[in-house]
Amino acid sequence: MSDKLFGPASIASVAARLIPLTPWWTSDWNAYDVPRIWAMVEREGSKAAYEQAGGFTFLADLLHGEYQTWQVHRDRIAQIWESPAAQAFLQILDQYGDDLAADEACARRSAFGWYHTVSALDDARKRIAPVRRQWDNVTSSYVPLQWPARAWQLNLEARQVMVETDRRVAEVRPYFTPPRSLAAVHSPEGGDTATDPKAGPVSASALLTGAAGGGTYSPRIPPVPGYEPVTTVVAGPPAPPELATIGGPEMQSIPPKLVPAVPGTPVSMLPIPPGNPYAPFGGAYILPGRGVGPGGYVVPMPQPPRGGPVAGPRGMMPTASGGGGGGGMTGMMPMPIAGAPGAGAAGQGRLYRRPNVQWQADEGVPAVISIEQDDYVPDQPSPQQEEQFRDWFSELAHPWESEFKSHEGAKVTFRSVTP
Amino acid sequence: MTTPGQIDVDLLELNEVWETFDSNLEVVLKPGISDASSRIQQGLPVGERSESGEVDVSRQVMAEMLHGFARNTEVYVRRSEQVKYFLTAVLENYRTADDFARMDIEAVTQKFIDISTLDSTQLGPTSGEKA
Repeated sequence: MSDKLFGPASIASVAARLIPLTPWWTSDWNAYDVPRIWAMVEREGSKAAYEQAGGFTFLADLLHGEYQTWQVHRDRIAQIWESPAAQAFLQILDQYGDDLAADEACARRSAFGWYHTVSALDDARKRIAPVRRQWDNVTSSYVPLQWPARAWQLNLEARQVMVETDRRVAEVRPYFTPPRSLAAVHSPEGGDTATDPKAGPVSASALLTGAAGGGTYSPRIPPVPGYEPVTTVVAGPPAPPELATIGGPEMQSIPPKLVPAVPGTPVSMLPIPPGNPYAPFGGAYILPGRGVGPGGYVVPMPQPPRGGPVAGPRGMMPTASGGGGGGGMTGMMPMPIAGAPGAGAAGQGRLYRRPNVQWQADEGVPAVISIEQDDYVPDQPSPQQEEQFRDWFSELAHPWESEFKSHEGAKVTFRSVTP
Repeated sequence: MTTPGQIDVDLLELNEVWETFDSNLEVVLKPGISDASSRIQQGLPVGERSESGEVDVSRQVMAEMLHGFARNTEVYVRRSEQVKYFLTAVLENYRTADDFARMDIEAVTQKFIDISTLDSTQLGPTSGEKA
């Protein structure tokens, strides 16, 4: 740790204010798949986040300059005004100067910690973005037999990124140094009293005792059914700031905690864009897993009546059934991987007849009277078709997005788990 | 070095200190605090959707820091205004009478506290002119 982070304040004076917090829970990333993880990180590394981190450096520089100016004034007053009254006044100036120096150190340390937090999450976004793109192309790039394994591999990559990101976030947290509450009114007895003790959003003690969240952990992005998303952390004595490596990456070595799949929770799935021989009009491949069963299956996108809109997915939302298998869900068509047609490259396999597949026939001649233009061409999906597929799949696979949209503007959400 | 009870003050120099102090307050500190606040007080644009316990606790600490700095930056300005007003009072009292100069330490401290408890409207002019 560089002494430059402390500025004119002594290390001891600042270290006393450090809050080496441990998290209330450690995320078990086994409970999240690539789309869920992407949803968490896709907005990271924003300009506002970096500006905020830079703002702390700006504030530290400002306070440093103010401290130096303060000292110049103080020394000059000491030279030109000698009296008992001046001595009392200088003591007050000294205390105010010390507070400026201490807050400068807090701001500089916090700038360091926050910048590296922003940077860690930004890096996570950059690393997971290509994983997400590969996820979206799995069904186009591989034969169905390989879909589950490829998805599993991509999940591993994304989860590893999150484990490493958690470690980086934890490592820099000890640099966060909330400033001591300064009082506008000087107390002659020494020390300051806060102008409004209740003004703080969350006191440090409340954070340490878990009272900040005051509730139970409630994920905004639901985990993959059948997995416990968090592991409660048993708090130990706070580590020295310089040595603290708070966090739970080590917890990842613990096998994932399996829980019953909750019916109704969204399952993990791969998109099958229109034009794919296994779902010519587009669809979703429901990955095998808890609540789904040992075999995956394809859910074709429902086709609209001619000229009508695509039916929404709500009536046929593939969610965890709790018992495995998707055969009981309306509109779903089980397609065991073992029986998947075609062993060659995607697009070259043999198709089998499905109720909603319109076989193309080469017989006959072009109609003399064209009744209606059919926009749905399986082999050459139109932009409209692709757009409708994206909307359908997004609502089907990422239902949490609508929840986010309804809560835009909510800036701060604190959560905790009750040990 | 003064002996107990001895008063030695250079009013001309003290007036210059007052002027530079006032200038710094209005030209550097207030605009600087305003600029810093606009950069920092942007909510928490980090980890808004994260399910990470690590990120969540970092956000909590950051929230406390944001509130702490918002509160303290107001205090810096307030304190500077108090010191400036106190210097104004010192200058006036030394000019008009020796009563203030003969005040003991407790009385001076109390005087400063009295000034400290005034709100900004009671502190009088804050820029470029003495009370």
